[in-house]
Amino acid sequence: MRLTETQKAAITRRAMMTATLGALTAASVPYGALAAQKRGGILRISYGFQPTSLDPTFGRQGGDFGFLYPVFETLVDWEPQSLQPKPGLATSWAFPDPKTLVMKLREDVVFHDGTPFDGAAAKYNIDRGLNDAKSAVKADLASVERVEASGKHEITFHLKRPNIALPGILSDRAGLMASPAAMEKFGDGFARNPIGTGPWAFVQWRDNELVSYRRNDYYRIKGLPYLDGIDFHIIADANTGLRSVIAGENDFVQSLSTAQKPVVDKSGLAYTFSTSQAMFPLWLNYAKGPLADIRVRQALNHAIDRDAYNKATALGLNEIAWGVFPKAHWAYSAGVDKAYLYNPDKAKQLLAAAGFANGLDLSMTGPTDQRSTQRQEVVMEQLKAVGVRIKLTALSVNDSIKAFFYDKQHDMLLILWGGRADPSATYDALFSKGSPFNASGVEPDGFGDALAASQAVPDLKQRAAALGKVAQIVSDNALMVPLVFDAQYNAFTKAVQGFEPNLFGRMRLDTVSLES
Amino acid sequence: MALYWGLHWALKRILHLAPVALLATFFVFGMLYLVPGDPAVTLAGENASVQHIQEIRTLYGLDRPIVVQYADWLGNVAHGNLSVSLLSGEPVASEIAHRLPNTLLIVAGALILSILIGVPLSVAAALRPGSRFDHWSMAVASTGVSVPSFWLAMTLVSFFALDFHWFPATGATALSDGVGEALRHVALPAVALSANGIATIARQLRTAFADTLAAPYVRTLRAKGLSPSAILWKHCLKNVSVPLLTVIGLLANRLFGATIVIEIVFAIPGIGSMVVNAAINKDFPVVQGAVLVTVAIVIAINLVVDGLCRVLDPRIARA
Amino acid sequence: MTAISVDILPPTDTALRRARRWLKSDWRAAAALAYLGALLLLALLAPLIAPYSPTTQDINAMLQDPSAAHWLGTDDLGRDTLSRLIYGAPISLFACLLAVAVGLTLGVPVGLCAGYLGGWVDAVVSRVIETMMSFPGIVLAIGVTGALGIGLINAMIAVGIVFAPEFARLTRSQTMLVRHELYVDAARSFGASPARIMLRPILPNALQPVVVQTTILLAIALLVEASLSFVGLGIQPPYPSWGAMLARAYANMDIASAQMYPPGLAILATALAFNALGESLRAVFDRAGRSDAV
Repeated sequence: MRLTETQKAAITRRAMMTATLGALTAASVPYGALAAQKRGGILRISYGFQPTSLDPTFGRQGGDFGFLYPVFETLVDWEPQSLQPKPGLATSWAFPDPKTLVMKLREDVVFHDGTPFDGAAAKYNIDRGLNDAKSAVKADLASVERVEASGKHEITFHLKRPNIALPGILSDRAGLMASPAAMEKFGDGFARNPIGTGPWAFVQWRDNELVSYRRNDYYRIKGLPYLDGIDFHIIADANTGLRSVIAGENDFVQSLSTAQKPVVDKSGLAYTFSTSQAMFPLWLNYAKGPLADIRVRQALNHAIDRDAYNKATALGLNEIAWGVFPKAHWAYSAGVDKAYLYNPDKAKQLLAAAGFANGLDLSMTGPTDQRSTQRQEVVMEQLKAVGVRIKLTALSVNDSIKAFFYDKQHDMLLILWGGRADPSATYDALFSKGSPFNASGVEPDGFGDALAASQAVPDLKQRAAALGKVAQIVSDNALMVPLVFDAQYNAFTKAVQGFEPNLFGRMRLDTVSLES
Repeated sequence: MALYWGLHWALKRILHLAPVALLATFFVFGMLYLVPGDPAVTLAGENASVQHIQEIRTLYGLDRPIVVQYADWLGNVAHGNLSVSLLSGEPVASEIAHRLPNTLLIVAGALILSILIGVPLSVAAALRPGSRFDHWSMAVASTGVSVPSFWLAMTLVSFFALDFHWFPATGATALSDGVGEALRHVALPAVALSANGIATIARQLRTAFADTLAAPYVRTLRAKGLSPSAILWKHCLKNVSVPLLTVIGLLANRLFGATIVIEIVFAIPGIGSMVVNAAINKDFPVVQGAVLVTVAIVIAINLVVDGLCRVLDPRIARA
Repeated sequence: MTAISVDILPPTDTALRRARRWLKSDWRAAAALAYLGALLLLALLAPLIAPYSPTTQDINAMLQDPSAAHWLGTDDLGRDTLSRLIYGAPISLFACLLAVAVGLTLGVPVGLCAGYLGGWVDAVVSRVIETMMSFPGIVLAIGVTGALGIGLINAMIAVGIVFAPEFARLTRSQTMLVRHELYVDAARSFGASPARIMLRPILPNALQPVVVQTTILLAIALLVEASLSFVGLGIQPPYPSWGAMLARAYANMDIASAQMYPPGLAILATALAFNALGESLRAVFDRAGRSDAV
């Protein structure tokens, strides 16, 4: 299914008017294989999640990004391996003073409905993110006081406090740009009629079954995309998804468990296996009950045998997590490495010192699918060995998130953390006292200042040092129990070319093509 | 004259069934109040804002008497409005419309297989009462009733889809994409589901056949020289058609339940997998819509079965 | 009145003797009872019989084939499958019994009243029964679980609610048959209250089909519990229910397909035992019924 004739006509008019300007300002994207890759084909993907919403501002989970990136683009794009900001819908940006960010926007971009992307459209999106009751990015944009369209293709952010991390934040969900005209037209229905500027246009969403996209003929980067369309087949169970690719019913399956490696190796499929910054921690509510005592939290950290966990859940192939960033990340801090080695005796001592010589009871929640159940069981058994008895309440993903973060009914949660584009934004989201992802609602002394310091310096090396101090505070206070980083493991038929995994662990298909 | 009686019967049946159907819809509507907590929160979704919850309360008139709410809801249903999913916003009615054919295809396939294999099996056993074949086939039937159909499905997937690649391991295709492909996708799920059906039909019919074969008039026919199989096919079939239809009605009900787990094993986008996902995610309108449709279909099937029974065996009509 | 021959039954015939005769003649019933008895014993003595704890993990022994150390192999966390199977028995049995108990408690009294009192009570109850029976059981159980919350007890209570109309219908039709018997008239002529009549002469005589149906529904409850645990709406980890074991085996099917068989066969064997017992009981009651018809 292609864009309607009206859509095409609308876009053509705009495209012709801006084509000349576009030629002058087009960013040169170094896609080396541009000439060699074939155009055409519909990529059939087995994807494990249903979108929570196709409205970029309202969606709540990391799994949404696979559905959003085909349709929407961000103001700031990101380098796949370092997550460093690079031009996206914005061509350049600068801080004339620490509390002002000026962004120049591309002038040749149209939304799928033919309306132009300009400063007013960008402002509309940011305002929505700041003010709408259902916005999921309010906390991300907390440093922004207001935004104005300071030129036809320019916006200016006025900040409450210096935040060097803002361009990085705008490369994440907060920077996804949707068509204001469509949002006005569809209202609440926009979540099922997403209109953006991306390489493909949305066609249909059949609940828990299929989400379809077809080529945007007027995409701003000439020659892209290669694929005529993408069909996401929602198959929750990764084993079933892998089987569907082996059987030829799908071309691509994402987010495989490392435990499936023997099957992939036997099948002859191509695959990518790479580190990502997505991490499995034991989230702690450190204002609640026994967890308010730092010794208990440290005991938990010592009680976990991360190597055994890795072996049990991932054949030992994931990277052990001591802090929030993997080794490949520029903000990785070696100072917190191995801070809490596996030491069940020490754990018991700490618990006894805290008054729990006879063990203690904690409640944990998490999702009900089999892979999550396996992770929960490993952790529960390891904690049992030091006298920590866990009562588990497995719920749907949404319910477990709500029960832990909003209703604060549980001491611990075991669920994946997808990460943020900017490291300061990551620490902010995880540990700042006002953040929705901080169940405790409190932060350690000095955390706020250290975080602000990391957001105030532009130089990467200096920022890394400042972030190292933040990491130290987090580790010293044992605010969570990091376990492993989730390697991104995708398998696909040999016909799929050009897929590039990234450190985010999110799926981008811009460079993918299909040999027939 | 026959038309008059036919209409008379139809009217009587509808009058008799109407309270059941109405009561069924009332139960389905009442599920809303089974959920602990505020019905408005159940309908708005737990992440909804206070304002949205209030909107929902006004929209559905949750402050009004239950009977009025029920009448409203029933009116909506009659117009095809089954509300929208709390998670995705997709209208429940259209979601059901997409998924129902997949489920119906599997259930129909299982029913057909059950009849095609179960009936001859029961006939063969009834013709050889007390023989080894009789005992063994009934033993197999007993096993068939006791086997978890989704476990059978797993073993079938393991052998046929993975080792031999004869049948697809997942998914479903619409009939519009080609009857052959659709049937290939339906084959394994239908077979897994039919084990129970074959066993049930074989057992019930064997008893029915054995009873008819023992009847006095059959002895007369044998004395006249008719072979047992001729007697069965010509005379007894009519008598067992009633038990057969009754079993089919019962099976239809049971199969709709069993197909749920089968759909999960095969990742088939049908009503069953829809209701499980909705229950796990507390997506109440979807659960309610799925239960309503399933109940409606089962009641309809039983209505047809009942009607056919009366046509085939007038004695029932007089009862 | 003609004299009833008193030498139909041996003078010292007791229930125990009758039972023994029955089991001797029906090997299927004997086998089923023996199996169920062994299962019950296993369930009660699980900690003594099982070689390992059901939750102890051994990361170095994941997904192993059967061996001397692990007779049925291990699951994906190195837990001994045989031990989990044994510890799963009490959980599965408890689940069936809970569902059937709920069904009986709700259904039998309702059926009794409807059958005995007749009139509008019967009309209303019959309509309600017919309505509830058009709900496919597991759909209703899932719906109720979705409403009440995930957990084994909630799920089996929901299943019990689904069973209640079947018990009610059976009890009702039996009550209607029995209420015209002579001994009921006798009780009424003594001035017994309706409640007393329902309880004393009627209930015991109406119970036979209910007993048969109980065994059949025990089998169904087992299958439903397995299904619910399989889709994640049943028992919470790390407790081993047979259905949950099947779900985990399915997740690892591509790597170790043998793990599917122990829990699947356990469910099959137990359901088969329940069904065989039910059929045998039905045959016994049929025979007894026919000989009572003077």
